[in-house]
Amino acid sequence: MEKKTVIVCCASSMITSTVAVNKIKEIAERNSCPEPRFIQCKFSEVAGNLSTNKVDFVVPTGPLKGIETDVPIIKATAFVTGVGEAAVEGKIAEQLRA
Amino acid sequence: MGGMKLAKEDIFLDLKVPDMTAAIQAICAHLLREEKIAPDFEKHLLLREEEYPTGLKLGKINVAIPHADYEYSKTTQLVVATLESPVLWNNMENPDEALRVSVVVMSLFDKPEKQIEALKQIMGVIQSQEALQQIVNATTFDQVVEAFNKGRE
Repeated sequence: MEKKTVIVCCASSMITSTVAVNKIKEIAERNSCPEPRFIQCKFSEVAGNLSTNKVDFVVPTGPLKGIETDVPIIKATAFVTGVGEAAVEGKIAEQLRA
Repeated sequence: MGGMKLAKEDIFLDLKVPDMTAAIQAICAHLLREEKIAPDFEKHLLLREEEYPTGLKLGKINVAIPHADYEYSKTTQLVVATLESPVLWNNMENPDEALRVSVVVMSLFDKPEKQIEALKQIMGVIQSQEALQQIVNATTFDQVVEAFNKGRE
């Protein structure tokens, strides 16, 4: 299985995205996938990071506006609220295994 | 046990405010008097809420977790307010949706590395509707502190 590259992003202060990074590491381990390479940034920096990196999927902790891309986007506010977390975990596991 | 300070002098019970802006202003005015935040904290936090709201849809009891960058804070701690009546607060997951929020948990941090600690502690509480119900029902500051400690276990 190849090592994936993931953009994990949040509004500005890197709090919720750090929570998401930790969760994705756990999901990778549970599914015996290699830990992905993380690009952690603000929403406003996603477009730039998409254009300069080969990215497998994007995990924003809130809505990502004005981004046009074919790269899958998996919204992960559930990692903060705990509501609907299993569904998001499933989608991320699927991308890690792809 | 780690975790952030939840100072009793910064717990508000049944805060009576008409809307989310008034809630933030009331809390910030108190923190500014205590010299725990910079004068620009409130402005920065309100602007941030406009672009990236922090209402969390959790179930029967919804919570907002407003915060500003560390540059505007002079200390590291949590501030909790229960609202006498819920106010509308935009949903972090979907900003076009307004949630009825009855508990505000504001985090202050003066160093960026403390932010994650703050959020982890908040998550322990907000992911438990039981702990939230205890906070909403609280009539003393001690009951709020107790609910937070329980959520952390």
